[in-house]
Amino acid sequence: MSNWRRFRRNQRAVAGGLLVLMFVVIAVLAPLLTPYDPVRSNLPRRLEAPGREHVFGTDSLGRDMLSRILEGARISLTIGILAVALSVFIGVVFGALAGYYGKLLDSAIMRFVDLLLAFPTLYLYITLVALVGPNIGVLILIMGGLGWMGVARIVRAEVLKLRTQDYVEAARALGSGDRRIIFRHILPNALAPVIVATTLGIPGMILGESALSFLGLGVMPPYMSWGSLVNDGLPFFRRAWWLPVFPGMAIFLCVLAFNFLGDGLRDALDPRLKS
Amino acid sequence: MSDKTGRLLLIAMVVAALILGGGCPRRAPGEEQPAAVTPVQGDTLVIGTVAPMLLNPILATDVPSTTITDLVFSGLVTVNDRLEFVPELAESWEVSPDGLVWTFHLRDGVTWHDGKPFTAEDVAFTLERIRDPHTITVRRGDYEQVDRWEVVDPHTFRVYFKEPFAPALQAFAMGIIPKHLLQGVDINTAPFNTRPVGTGRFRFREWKPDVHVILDRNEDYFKQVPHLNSIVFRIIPDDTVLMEELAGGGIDFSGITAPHYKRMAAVPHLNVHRFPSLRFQYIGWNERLPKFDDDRVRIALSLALDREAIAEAAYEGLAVPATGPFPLVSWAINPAIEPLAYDPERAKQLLADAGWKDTNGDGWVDRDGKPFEFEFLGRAGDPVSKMIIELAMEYYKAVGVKLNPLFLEWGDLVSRLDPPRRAFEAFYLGFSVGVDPDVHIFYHSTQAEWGFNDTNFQDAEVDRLIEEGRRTMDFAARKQVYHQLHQRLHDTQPVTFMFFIEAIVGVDKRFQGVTPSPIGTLWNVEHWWVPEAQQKHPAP
Amino acid sequence: MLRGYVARRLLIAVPMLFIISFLTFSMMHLAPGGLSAAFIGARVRLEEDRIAIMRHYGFDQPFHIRYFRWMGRVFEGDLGHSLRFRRPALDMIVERIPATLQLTIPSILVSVAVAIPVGVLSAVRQYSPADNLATIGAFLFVSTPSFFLGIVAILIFSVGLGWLPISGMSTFGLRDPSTLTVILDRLRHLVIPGGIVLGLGYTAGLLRYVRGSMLEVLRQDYIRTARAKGLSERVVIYKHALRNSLLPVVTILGMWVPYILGGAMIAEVISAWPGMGRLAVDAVFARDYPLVMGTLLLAASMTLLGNLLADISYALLDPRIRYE
Repeated sequence: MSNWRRFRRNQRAVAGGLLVLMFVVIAVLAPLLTPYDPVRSNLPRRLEAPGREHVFGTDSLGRDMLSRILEGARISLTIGILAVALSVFIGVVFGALAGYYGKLLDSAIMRFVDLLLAFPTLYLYITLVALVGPNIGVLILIMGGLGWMGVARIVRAEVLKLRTQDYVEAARALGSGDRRIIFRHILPNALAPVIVATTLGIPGMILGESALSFLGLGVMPPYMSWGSLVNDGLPFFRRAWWLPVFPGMAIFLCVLAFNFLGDGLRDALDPRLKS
Repeated sequence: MSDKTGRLLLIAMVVAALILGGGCPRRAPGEEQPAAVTPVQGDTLVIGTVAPMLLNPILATDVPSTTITDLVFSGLVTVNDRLEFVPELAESWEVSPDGLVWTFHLRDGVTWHDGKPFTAEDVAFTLERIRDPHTITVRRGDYEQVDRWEVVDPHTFRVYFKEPFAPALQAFAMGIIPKHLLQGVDINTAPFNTRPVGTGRFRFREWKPDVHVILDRNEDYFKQVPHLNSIVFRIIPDDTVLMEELAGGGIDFSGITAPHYKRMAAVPHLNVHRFPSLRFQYIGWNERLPKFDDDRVRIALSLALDREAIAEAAYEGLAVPATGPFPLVSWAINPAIEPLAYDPERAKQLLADAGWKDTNGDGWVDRDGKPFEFEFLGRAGDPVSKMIIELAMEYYKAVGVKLNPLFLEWGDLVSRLDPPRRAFEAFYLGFSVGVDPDVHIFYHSTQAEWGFNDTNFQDAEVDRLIEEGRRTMDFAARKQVYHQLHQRLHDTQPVTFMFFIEAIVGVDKRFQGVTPSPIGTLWNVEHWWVPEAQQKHPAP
Repeated sequence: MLRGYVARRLLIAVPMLFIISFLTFSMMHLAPGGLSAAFIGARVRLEEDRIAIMRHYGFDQPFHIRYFRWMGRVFEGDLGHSLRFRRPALDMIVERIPATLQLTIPSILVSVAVAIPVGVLSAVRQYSPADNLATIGAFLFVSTPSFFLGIVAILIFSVGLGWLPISGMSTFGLRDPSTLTVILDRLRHLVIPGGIVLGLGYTAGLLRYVRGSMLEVLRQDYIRTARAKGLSERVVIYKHALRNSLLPVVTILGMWVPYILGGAMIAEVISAWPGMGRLAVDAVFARDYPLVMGTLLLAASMTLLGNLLADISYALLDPRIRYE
């Protein structure tokens, strides 16, 4: 049974995939989809309940919540995807170096990984973000730059396994250089776990950003993320439940979709599960 | 609480009071309390607050700590609900005709909470500790005008000033600390700071870090002995949760932030009080930068904001446009001054006069090829500031000025504003001048390098009026000086005076005798009481 | 042999702690604005006061001297004084440990107690309705921001239904302070921060892990052999499969050790729980660097210790592992 067929039979994963696709489309097309300017206030109509004109209601400054959530999708997904891309890049490079060259380099890299893992993640985030000052770029750099250790471990393990495979030995015997062996022969075969880690990493970043927003260290206006929207809405929870609840649902659905997709991919791609 | 804490003692006190409430016009006697009912003893007041730091009046700078030290300690004088200085540890005082010598006659028979007698030696000791460079305190500056002091006898204390100093009494409202417990001890790290002993209305019982601080009635208090058995400060860091605790009866009293006002006003068991506070909010412009060092530009930036609309949205209407630093209830405010009205057209004109025009048609005004943009600092985690800054962004955009917001935690924010760094372009903060209207530390040109004149405002006329206000001992004459000063500040806009805000507090209805004043809701807590049938917490 | 292994691991931990301490120290001291103003929690008006304070805390010394002095004092058990509270940082940390342990340990224990049986069941009956329910439930909880879950839980269970206290660790002025009522009261206060904010996430994560690990083991040759030998399904699963599938779970629990002390920040802030996490967040925001350093150092040490314990128990449980 091919990976693709196995994936397709997993309804949860397919539903997750479709939802992810939807969120990505929303994020890309947000400027075309927003019915109102997401940053334009309209004070006479503040805190209006969901209705015909404002499907998700308006916020404390009369801005359309639907538009803000659509625009928030852009920032939340950008942060999630770029931070994971950065962490995967670093993780693959360090993991491959450690796994392929072994010995001292391996020990050094893996001890460094242990070192970074010794800090509680959220604590490290808030320390650094508080020191550097929050903006989207900083959030991506810090969350991505500190999130690669898992990927490095996975890649290292794969490389260790593949390094001694016959076809790699053959390539080496034919005079291929290290770089060529790593990039052409080993990494393509280690792709599956990296794809899974990437998919499962994005929701982690989105939740991380929302936790930072809760602590007051999220993105700054005029930008808005789902996390900052929830946080802005919390003081109004009892007066205007739609302020925190709709962006909260957006985070929940999007994270859930990525988790379903990632889990399905893992089941489909994991060779050990092939019957 | 975006106040610059830790300035004058009284300011800290006042600000503390403000967070926990302030005053409405004094209620006519008998309006809500039937005159026939006599107060009874008993019950506990549970107050919701963020964590205090250390409970020593000469070291504490944060609002919760100063609120507590204000109950545990007494000053020589205190402030009443009409903003007058009245006797506390000092029974009376007199000033020499030249205004240089102040003599305080101390109350006889006052004891510390540990039973030892209070004397003038304690007052001298308190001043010595403040003056001692080893003591880490922000209060030293309050006594710059003091030349020396003298203990005449155990109940007479005399202070000599370098020059006549009208605001002098303000510094003597600060809590006096006991010599017998702190002599020879490193005051910075003394265990005393976590279990204080004072002469105040309430005595300290216990402090469980991050849980609560408990105070008990001081049976030996030299004025009205409190009716309540105890006051508990429950420490709750999250504002949303704090509000739910107030609504749910888990706490009896707390300040209320504007977004929660309407809902809390509808909670049946709460009396929600709102009243003008001593506080004003302002935008500071760093006048070390050429773009803000121009009265026309600052006036334009003030005119460009529709402050009525902003107040309605962000403060739920509980704020009015400010005309200057003096609170609405102060004698110093010049009633003839009208707040600058929203006028974007005139703002654009003034900007153009100063050379800021949109020459390249990109929507932003520019000068010498550079667009007018600036970084605007606000306090992270304060939803009201965030709304105001987001609205300001839109108003400034309409006149072609670009505002880039940055929200920072308090420590970071302060480190940007403080000397020697002064690394900011503009910021939104709140402040309270205090009971005495002396604004020397904020707007005098000598305070620009190291003091609190963060924005580097320099104006010879303002300097002159501030100095005159400090020297003038005659009240009527002094009042005139401040009215002139207010006019000059209004004309030059050293900062953009944004709002006078109302304080909002919620108090459980079972408490009788609650009459908030501009200096705080707890100012008369010794008079609060609960009818026997409604008492919630029996005596331990 | 095991002793040698442990000794070697401990030897590695020492330089790592040094590096951690150096990194955190640098982070706090080299940040823009540094310590020039944040050290007093308020604003100093006079230049001479500022200089005196700088000198008092040794901030007038160059960076490396400050670091070595600090390190030297750490060895004497002195983490310095909090800049805001002016109390020994160590005392402040230690007095908050019991509260944090009372929050995290029950939530981890309950998570383990729920996640292992449910995870095993889920794996044994893969794709059954029970498995689907457990899996989807787990996904729902790992997909919600914990602070949002906490606030919603407070609004529903405490404010709306009145079943649980809103915040805090105990009821003030409990009318009948007997041991039993005190314990029951503490448990009621634990439900939201411990059970919902922390526990649901822990349980969901662990459940996925146990299920995956069990599924993998069930496909191994020796399980097939056992089945082929005609052993009953019960013996196969509970005697052979379970033991081996729990091995990786030990690693996960080891990785949770830092959370036992430092990872409950959000739960503690929301529920006004007087623990270490709240202390740490406040310290970072106020740049109260002796406290930040103290809490970070402690959390990092706990993690290293946790990893070490996990490795050792792994080695003890799995006969295939040799202590090379």
